[in-house]
Amino acid sequence: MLVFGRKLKEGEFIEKKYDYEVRWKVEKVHCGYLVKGVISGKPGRVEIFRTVAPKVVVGGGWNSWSDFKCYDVSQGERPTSSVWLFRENPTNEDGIFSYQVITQNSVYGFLSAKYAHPFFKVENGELVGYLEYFNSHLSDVEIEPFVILEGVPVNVSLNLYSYHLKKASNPYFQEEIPLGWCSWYQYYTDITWGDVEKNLKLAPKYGIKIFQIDDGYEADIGDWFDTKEGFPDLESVAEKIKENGLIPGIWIAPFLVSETSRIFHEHPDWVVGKNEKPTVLFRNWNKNIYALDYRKPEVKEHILGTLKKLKCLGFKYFKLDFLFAGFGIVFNSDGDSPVRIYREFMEKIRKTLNGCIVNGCGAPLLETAGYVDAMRVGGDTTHYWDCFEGEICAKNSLRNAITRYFYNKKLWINDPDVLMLRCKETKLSKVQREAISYLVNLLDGLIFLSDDLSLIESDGFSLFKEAQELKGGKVCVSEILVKNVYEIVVKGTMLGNVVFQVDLKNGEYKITVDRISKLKKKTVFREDGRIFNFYGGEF
Amino acid sequence: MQELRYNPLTGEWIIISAATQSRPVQPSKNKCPICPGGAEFPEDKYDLVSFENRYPSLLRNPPEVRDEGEIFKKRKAYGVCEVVVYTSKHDSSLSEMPVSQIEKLVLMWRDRTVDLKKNDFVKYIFIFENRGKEVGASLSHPHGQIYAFSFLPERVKLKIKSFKRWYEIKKTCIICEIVKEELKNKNRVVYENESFIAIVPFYAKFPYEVHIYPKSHLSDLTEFGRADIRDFAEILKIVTKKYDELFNEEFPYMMMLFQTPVNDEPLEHCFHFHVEFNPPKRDKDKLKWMASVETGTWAFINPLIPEEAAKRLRGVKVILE
Repeated sequence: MLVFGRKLKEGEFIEKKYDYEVRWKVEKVHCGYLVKGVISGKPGRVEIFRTVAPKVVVGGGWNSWSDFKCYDVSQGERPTSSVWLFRENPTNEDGIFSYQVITQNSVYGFLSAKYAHPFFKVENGELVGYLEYFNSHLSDVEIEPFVILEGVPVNVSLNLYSYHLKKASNPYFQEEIPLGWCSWYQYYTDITWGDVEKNLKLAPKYGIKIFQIDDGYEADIGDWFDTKEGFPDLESVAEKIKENGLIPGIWIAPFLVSETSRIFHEHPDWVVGKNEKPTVLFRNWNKNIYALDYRKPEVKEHILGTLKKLKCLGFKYFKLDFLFAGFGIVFNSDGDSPVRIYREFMEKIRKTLNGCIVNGCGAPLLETAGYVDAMRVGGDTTHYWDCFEGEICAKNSLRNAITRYFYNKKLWINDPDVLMLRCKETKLSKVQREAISYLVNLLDGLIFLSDDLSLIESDGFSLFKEAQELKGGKVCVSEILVKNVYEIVVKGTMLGNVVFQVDLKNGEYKITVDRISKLKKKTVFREDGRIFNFYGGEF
Repeated sequence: MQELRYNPLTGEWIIISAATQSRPVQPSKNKCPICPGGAEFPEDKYDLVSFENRYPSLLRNPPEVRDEGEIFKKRKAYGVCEVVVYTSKHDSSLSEMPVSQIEKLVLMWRDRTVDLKKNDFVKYIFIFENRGKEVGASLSHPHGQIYAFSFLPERVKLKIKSFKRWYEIKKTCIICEIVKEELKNKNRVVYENESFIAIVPFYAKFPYEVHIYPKSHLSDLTEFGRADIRDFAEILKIVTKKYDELFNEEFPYMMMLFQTPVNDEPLEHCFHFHVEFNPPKRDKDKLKWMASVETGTWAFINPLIPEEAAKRLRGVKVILE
């Protein structure tokens, strides 16, 4: 095993190359090693780590939506560079595993992405870890720390890896996010004001606190304050949600504009382009979509002003989508680190939305750490279970919620995407709805419903309530290097210890709860400021 | 004044707490502050209760501190100190309480662990009981305490260091290995049930020191299953009852529950939950003092062979009602 081309050993080292200089330190940590250091110059792509390639790994792309799954690399299985409309990594190469690689008895993982994009490749039978600095010119910048955790069961090394992830950045995020409702998976872009009013009345029954309008309220992508026909203005939307005792939430893709939007027609020079010609980032909504170039002061002002205005209108929960578009500037960063540029702007967004709950989606994961409270960790779910590899469906979304569980409550609250409990207008069977409900609660991440609430029957309501008692435990995925059948052991839920087995291929599950007795509890806050907890009960 | 002061001679943090000086010491039964109708519960009836100590060593909102130069370092005394009342019956004890009441106590300890670890500043949740004036108990009403520390105390650090070292070399948990060995030999076993074993450890520091270990690998109370909770309650009752019957008197002890740290490096894989009973008695009328050697050097001299202590405790017959 080599670190910066030298055999792994503790100590401090210096390497001077033609283009750059790196000083690094290898220190022993429990069950492994931590590599830290400082780099200067114009390093481009730097090799950090090299070892014999494992046969099978769990890994994936950089995006919230990227598959994070088991690859038999000995059989040539690798992530591809482009799936649907987004790139699987910022270098646009095939076979990139961003951030970390999990093997049978080890985790090799970077702990941050503040100046470089960290990734691994399998090259000629070796697993190689790189830091991609693009065209950056650096002066004494900390390298992204890296841990090698080996020789212990993978659930132990993953647990330790998640600890190092948190320790390296110690990001602030809101640890308790209330239950929410999201319009997307019932109404998509067809949502009407009538749908909003109907669900607002029903939401309190479910204990829902955040009511989030998703894509579909706006006249066009980028024209966020021009609501579509039949929708009131956003101030009235927020007001109506508040009137119902709920926290107003909104979806926005802050970096995107469409070719038909008013904003693009008024400011075609605001988008990322080449030779004064706008560059199409991707096609979606049957339109060409461009990325705003927020390095321009007026664009920066526009994006931050939009978010500030939404906050002032009363929105306190923001689902910021398509954040990877903030990397539209990646190949045109004039010697600065595109990662640094992106993070600097995300920090401004975070400050603008101070006091609000921010959920990142379609985001470069580690690059966005520290600027969101919640983060989507998989592709969109759907109201059907199965699909082909690389496509979106409930099964694949759930798979990522399992395999990326180690991020939860370390860098953000994991958003596994929504629950759908309706028994009409869905292809999810009762068993599949149960499997999703139990699992997302056991994984202890964000819980949002996305149904026409009038379509949920009493058994769906009971399931919603019952499954919430599975939160709060210590999660361990017993075997992560598998493709379909996962076992998740969760100790210390409100109900007791739980073993949950899910067969993603067949949409089946088995749950075993070692149910503990419950004491009655009453908490009293005395006048002198002390807290008294009274317990009792017969059993 | 509540503050932490650093001892640069040993690397320890010392809690300076003037408040604890004011606590009542061994008041009479009719003045017991934690009986129903007492100072803490003037109108409340209760079954079990855990409440923040009126005389805490550690505080949720401690006063500001300022270092006194490079050598004399201070830290704010963050933490929570709770008093845990096991029952409303003043004249009871762990050894006298029904197992069902001790089960409730275990569930309360579990819930306190869940609640307290939600405070990010809490790094270690230490549940303990001082029983008898010989170990400084200030009240005879059955109760214990919880200290939610904002730092890892030195002895806990030492344990963690040993657990980690063993795990790194052997890839197993040291207490899991000890349990296997003790179950083979049996000569240090005091009592066992389905889920727990009580032993006088090979390395006992005190003459009648007893440790309780779960037979399966559990790192803290939140990981206990239904059977673990029942069996833990039972073994606590048996051990304390054996103690009381050994010299036919209320046996003083320090009971300490060691759980894995919280909000810090995850050590569930190598930290095995355990209980230590450190009783100061070496005979009916004789005490084993923490004297100069023990206090000054941490080198303990145990005058009773652990295997003999285990035999004596094993020989005390306890019948559960």
